[in-house]
Amino acid sequence: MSSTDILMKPLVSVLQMLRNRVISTEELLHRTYTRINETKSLNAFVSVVEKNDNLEFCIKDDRSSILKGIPFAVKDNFSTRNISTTCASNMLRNYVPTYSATVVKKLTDAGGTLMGKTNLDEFAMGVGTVDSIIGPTRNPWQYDFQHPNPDDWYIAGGSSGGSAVAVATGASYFALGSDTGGSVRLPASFCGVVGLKPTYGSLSRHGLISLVNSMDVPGILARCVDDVVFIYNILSGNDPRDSTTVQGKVEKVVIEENPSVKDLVVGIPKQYHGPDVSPEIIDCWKWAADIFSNNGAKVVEVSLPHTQYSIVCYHVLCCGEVASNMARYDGLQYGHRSDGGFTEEMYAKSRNEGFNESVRGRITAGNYFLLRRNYRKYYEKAQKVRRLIQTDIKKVFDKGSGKNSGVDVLLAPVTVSTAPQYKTFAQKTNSYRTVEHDIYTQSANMAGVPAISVPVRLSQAKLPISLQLLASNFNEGTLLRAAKFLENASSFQHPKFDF
Amino acid sequence: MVPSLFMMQRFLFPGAIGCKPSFILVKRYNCSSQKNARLQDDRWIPTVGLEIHAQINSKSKLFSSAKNQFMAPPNSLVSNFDASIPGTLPVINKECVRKAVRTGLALNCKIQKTSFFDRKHYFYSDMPQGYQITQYKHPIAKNGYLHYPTADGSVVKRVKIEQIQLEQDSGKSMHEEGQVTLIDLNRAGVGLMEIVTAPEVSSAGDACAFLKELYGILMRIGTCNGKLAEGQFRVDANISIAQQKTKLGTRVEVKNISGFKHIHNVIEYEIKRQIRIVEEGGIVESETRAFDYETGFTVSMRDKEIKQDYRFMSEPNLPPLHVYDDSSVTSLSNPSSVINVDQERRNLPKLPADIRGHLIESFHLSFVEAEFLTNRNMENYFIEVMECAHNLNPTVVWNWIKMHVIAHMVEYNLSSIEECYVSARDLAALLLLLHNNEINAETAYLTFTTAIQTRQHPDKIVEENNWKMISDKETVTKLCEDAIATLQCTDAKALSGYDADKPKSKASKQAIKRVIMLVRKNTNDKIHTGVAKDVTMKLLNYKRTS
Repeated sequence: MSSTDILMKPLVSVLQMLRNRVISTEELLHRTYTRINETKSLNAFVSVVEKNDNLEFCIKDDRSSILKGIPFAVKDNFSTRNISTTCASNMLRNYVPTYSATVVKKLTDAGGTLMGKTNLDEFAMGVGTVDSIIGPTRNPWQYDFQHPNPDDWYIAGGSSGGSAVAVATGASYFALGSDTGGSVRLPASFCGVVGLKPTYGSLSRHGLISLVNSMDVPGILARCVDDVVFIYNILSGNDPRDSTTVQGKVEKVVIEENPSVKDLVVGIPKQYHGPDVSPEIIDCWKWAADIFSNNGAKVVEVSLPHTQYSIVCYHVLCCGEVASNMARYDGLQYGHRSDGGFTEEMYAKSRNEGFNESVRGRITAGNYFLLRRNYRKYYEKAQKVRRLIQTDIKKVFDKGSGKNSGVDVLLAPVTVSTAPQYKTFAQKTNSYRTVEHDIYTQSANMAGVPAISVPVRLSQAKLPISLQLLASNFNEGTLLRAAKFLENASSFQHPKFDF
Repeated sequence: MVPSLFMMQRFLFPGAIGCKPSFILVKRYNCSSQKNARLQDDRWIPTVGLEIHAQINSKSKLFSSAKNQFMAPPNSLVSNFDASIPGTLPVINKECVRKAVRTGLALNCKIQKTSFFDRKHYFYSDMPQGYQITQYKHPIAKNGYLHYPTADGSVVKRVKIEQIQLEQDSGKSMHEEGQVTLIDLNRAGVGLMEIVTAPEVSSAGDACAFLKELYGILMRIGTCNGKLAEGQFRVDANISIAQQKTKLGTRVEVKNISGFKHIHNVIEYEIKRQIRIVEEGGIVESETRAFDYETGFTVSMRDKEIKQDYRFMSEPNLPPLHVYDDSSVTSLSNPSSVINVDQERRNLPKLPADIRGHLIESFHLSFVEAEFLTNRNMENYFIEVMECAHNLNPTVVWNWIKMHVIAHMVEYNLSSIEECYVSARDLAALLLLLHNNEINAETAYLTFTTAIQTRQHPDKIVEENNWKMISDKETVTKLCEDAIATLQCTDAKALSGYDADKPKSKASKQAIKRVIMLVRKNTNDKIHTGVAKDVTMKLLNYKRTS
């Protein structure tokens, strides 16, 4: 791989090259297919679109489009017309949608080339991209491409791990993920890419296969903030097919090359300073706070007192909605259907064979929480706690209220550690891993606010450390400006992988 | 639309879902000795609460753009959302909301400015999502009431409407012989209004009277098409018996009854069944039963014996549903895009009760007559006829509309009076000819059918065909005198049977008939037989007495 690897260049500069015919779209696609092949052992893709299909598409493209045939990848829980969409589950192993998700359609309409569907934890339930029918996705960092060791590698993080790896390795300029509790930001941080979870309702969920409807948001993974901004501007806005999308127009985000943060108040949530957070991350966090402060931002400590309840609250709400959303998979209209037996028996068998243990566990728990006798005790209570967490965050961003409030962005860790090794990670249960790794990302989903994971530096083990920024609803402009500032200040280098 | 790839047109799988009737129960509590049951009925107070599922008359479904239509090929009206294809989301159909609001207003409900949708979970093969989207906790309309006349119109009663909720209809399962079930999702996702009454009805007759009034209202305001055979107006009845009015007994729910007669039978049957159980020392079980249309019994729905826990939760994909009023609509940037309750109230047509009242008061029609016209949307036609010809007898006009106009519409399956080519003005002209003895009933009917065929004015038809009758008294008297004279000469016996004291006797009638027949012959059938009859009687009376 050459040092001027075109596949690792920022989107904006590649678009310039395509415009100036320094490189053709066909050439770009050939190289991308080669890269996908070179990185095959990472298991980032569930399925890859036939090369000929895409070449045909890009020849037809007249180059006047916004994305000019730029390759991108999509998590395999977004519906893609005529392309299988498995959710990494046996249940949808042979499922081919007849329509495309709004966000996917916007990208292909803008001239993007869909390379393939990326790996995830089954139905996006997980934090590692390890619980998938095609097996786990491997993190390219510290990965020996020449002599892959079956056990000794780092996890990609999840559940959008395939998308994060595709972007980190240059197999895609950007990718779509979905973020329900941190599923874009966590793998982005483990793989050293930028991961944006936009405001709930700013991007359409139409076609995104539901996990938790009230928290799911399509997310954008790319290698730099500018690329995220570029794609965000293509995707955001109202969709009549999703009643929860924003009404009216969404302003396009424009970020300067070297944005100032002088006018910003940066909040440091003290509850995020947990004992489990690795010292390296704490150190990085402190460094970033200083950088903001040294460049004129006002850095204040803020309190989000209900943070500690977010995990259990998330668990109850998530399971409840999962139980409901998964009810449609009965093997009748589509999906896996088991043979024989009476109807109820067929349902039970199909669902048992179709879902993995983690999904079944959440369904069972969710149905338990929703039982009439339990509803108040669990589900209703969790909704109340969610309201408290929302209020916490709303207050912190509220310019009108008292002391230690009125911040523009929150600066926080993404998770407690850098990417863990597969062999240690695999020993823990899916739910324990979620508790451990989603702790600092869930709040944004509960409150709906936008958040972004930005790679900042490398740990001693040469693994990416990222930090998270959060802003108030529909304030992507400020969020991305702060992210761009942090990116500039940290000068994180994308590695040269030894494919 | 969903391609046949995912939606199997004819979809087979083994297994017997649905209700297997429990025949043992039926036999044991079958009310064969009605006499006995009737004797004890008085000691028991039945209480009935009703849940009506009225299909909303809308072009498309409640949350998808698929058409709402009956009798289409199976699974041809199914959108991705209706088939629960992953990733699809509900989008509320404003027309359905508007119709629910209209219904709420017509039933004197408080329209909720903000209402919410919930998911009600249960597995059923014709409900592809595994849950129904409904309004469980915060429905669109609450706390209404309806005044309804009992069957003969003698008493007006009142029933409280607890709530009206918007919800999805399910698809249809057809359980065929040979352990195969076919599923048609055309109906899946069609909008329903579930109208829930308080348990305040105390007899099958009252329940039917209420339902008929409700039905009439929905038809009148156009929120339901009301085709009973197509299941567009289905009723669940909660029935219990108790010895005191203040205490309700254990209720039994009978689900999915269509047709007023069936509803009447179900409630009657169920009340008797419950009385019989209790009188025999048994206990009425709280259960859901189905009505067996063939036997007329209700049977326990065995697979639902285990109490369902619907695990309600709010529907996260639909924002709160807002409706507005005159004052709140002004603050909106685009007021025409929302539903204004006050505007809907202003747009409501006159309701059946008011129409009937007007007909009874202004035209002295009976309740049954007024109801007949109202139920058939014929009141305006009737009123227009009366306005064109004030001196017509309302009952005669009503009779004509019933016997000829409506009969014609029924025969040719006409859905509205506009399709029948005899306007109210034309009918008035026709009935005036009849009223003035210019034509007789027979000719009137002939003129009516000709008018339908030729779309000509009755006056013109009568004129052109030379159908006007000889009805002026002087001419008729002359003609009758001639005929009597002729008969007396040629066939004296013919008139001998006439008895002035018994003008209605067989012999008298026979005599009159002979005179009329001769007059008809002499006038080439132009005589108004009614007038001639009166004249003949007078002449014959005069002859006898003189």
